[in-house]
Amino acid sequence: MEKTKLQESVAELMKDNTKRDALAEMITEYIEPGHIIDDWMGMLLNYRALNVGDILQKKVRKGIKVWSHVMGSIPLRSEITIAERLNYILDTAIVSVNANVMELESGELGTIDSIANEMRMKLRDYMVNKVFTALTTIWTAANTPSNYTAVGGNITRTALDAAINQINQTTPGAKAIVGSRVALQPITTFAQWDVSPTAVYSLREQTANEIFNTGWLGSYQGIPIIVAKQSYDYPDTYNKQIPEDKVLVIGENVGEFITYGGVNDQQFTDMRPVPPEWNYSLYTQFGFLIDNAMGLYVIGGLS
Amino acid sequence: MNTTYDNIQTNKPYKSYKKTILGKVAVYTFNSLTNTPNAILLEGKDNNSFSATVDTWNAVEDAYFRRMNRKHLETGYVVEFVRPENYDEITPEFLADASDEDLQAILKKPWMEFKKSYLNKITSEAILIRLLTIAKTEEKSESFIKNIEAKISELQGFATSEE
Repeated sequence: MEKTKLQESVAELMKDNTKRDALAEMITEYIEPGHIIDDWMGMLLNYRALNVGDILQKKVRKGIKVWSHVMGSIPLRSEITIAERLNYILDTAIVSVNANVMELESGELGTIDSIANEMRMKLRDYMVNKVFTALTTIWTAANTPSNYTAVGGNITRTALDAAINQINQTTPGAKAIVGSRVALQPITTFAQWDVSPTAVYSLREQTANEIFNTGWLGSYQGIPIIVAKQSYDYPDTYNKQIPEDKVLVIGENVGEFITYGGVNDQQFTDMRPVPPEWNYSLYTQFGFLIDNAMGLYVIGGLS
Repeated sequence: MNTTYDNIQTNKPYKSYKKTILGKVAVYTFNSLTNTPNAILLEGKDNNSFSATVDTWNAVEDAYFRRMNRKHLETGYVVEFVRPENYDEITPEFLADASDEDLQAILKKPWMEFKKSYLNKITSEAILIRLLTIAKTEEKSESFIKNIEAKISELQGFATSEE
C-alpha cells in the first residue's frame, strides 16, 4: 500500500467515530505485542506461551540414562520421573493510552504510525528492563567468587571475555550480552581490535566498518548485544530506571519467560467527560524464573 | 642498584595489592619491561592467594596502577598489603620431589608398608609412572606392579555424574 493511501485510510479511521474498533485493531496489528515478547524475551530467556488454566509450574523430566550392557543380561532401567521445580509468579503489563475525541478527529495527535511505534517501544523496554533489573541483582560482589567481576571504570575486553568464558563453561553457550547503552558503548571501541599476547593490535575491518556505518555493534564474539533502553520515572525527579553500572552475560537455558494467556485489548469511548475520551489498552500477564543462576554473569562497578 | 629486574628476580615487589571482595576484580597494570598496559582479573576465594593479588615492581608501575584503578582503591575493593616472605614457596605433593634413589629405596620396603605408607598417599600420576618404570626395571613382583597400575587408573579415571 502506498504511504499516502495508508495515511488517508488511517485518518479516515481516526475521524469516523463508528470505526474506532477498526482503529484499535490496526494499532494492535502494528504493535504485535506477542511478537515483541517472543522476539525480545526469546533473546534473553527461553520463551513459552501458556494458556489461561495451564499449571504455573516449571517441570523437569529426569532419569533417562545410558548404561553399558552385557549381552544376554536383563538391563538396568531408569525410572522416568517428573520434578516440579519452581512456581511462576505472574505480573501484568499494560500499555494504555487515551485521547480526547476532539483532538483525535482534528488529526493533531500525529499518525497512527507514531502512536503505535511508541507503544511498541515502551512495551519492549518495559519487559527487557524488568528482566534485566531482576537478573542483575542475583550476583553481587559478596556472594560469588565466579560469576561477578567488579570493574572500576569502563567495561574491558578482559572482563567481558572472562564472563563469556565462564558462561560457556556453565551453560550450553552464551546467549546474550545485555546492558544499558552507556554501559555497553565501550565494547564498540575494543571489539574493533584483535590483540595478540604480545600486545600487538590489528584492526578487525569488518567490525570497524559496522561500527563506522551504524555507530553500534550487533554482536560480540557472535553473541548478540541487547540494549536495555534507559527510562526515567518522572520529569521532575528524573531518576534512572535501569542500572547503568552493570552488564549482564546470559547463557542458554538459564530460565524461562512465560506469557499467561494471549494479549488482550480494550477499546472504548468514555462519554462522561466533555469532549469524550477515547481509550485504548493492551495488556498481558507474564512471569519468569531462573533455575540455573550459574548461567548468569554480572559485570558490575562500571562508571 | 635496585632495578626492576633485581626486584623481580629476588622477589621483592615495590608494592603489593589484593582484592577484598569474593567476586572478581578487573584491574589495569603496567609492564615497565615491555612498556605495555595490561588488564587482568584478580580472582579466587582466598584473597591472599596468588591469583587474587598483584605486584608492582617499581614506582612507575605503581603510579600507573594507582591512577588507573583509583575507583577500586577509593572503594576498598583493592587494598595494599604486604606479602608474607614465603608466599611463592612451592609445596610439592607427597613424594613429588623424591629422587630416583629415594623411589628405589621405597620400592625395597616390605609390601604392606609400601602400600600403606607410600602408595595410598600418592596423589600425582607422574610419581606413580616413575615408580612403575623403576619397579619394572628392577623386576619387582606382580603385586607391586599391578597395584601401582591400579592406582594410576584410579587417578586417570573420573567419576561419572549422577543426578
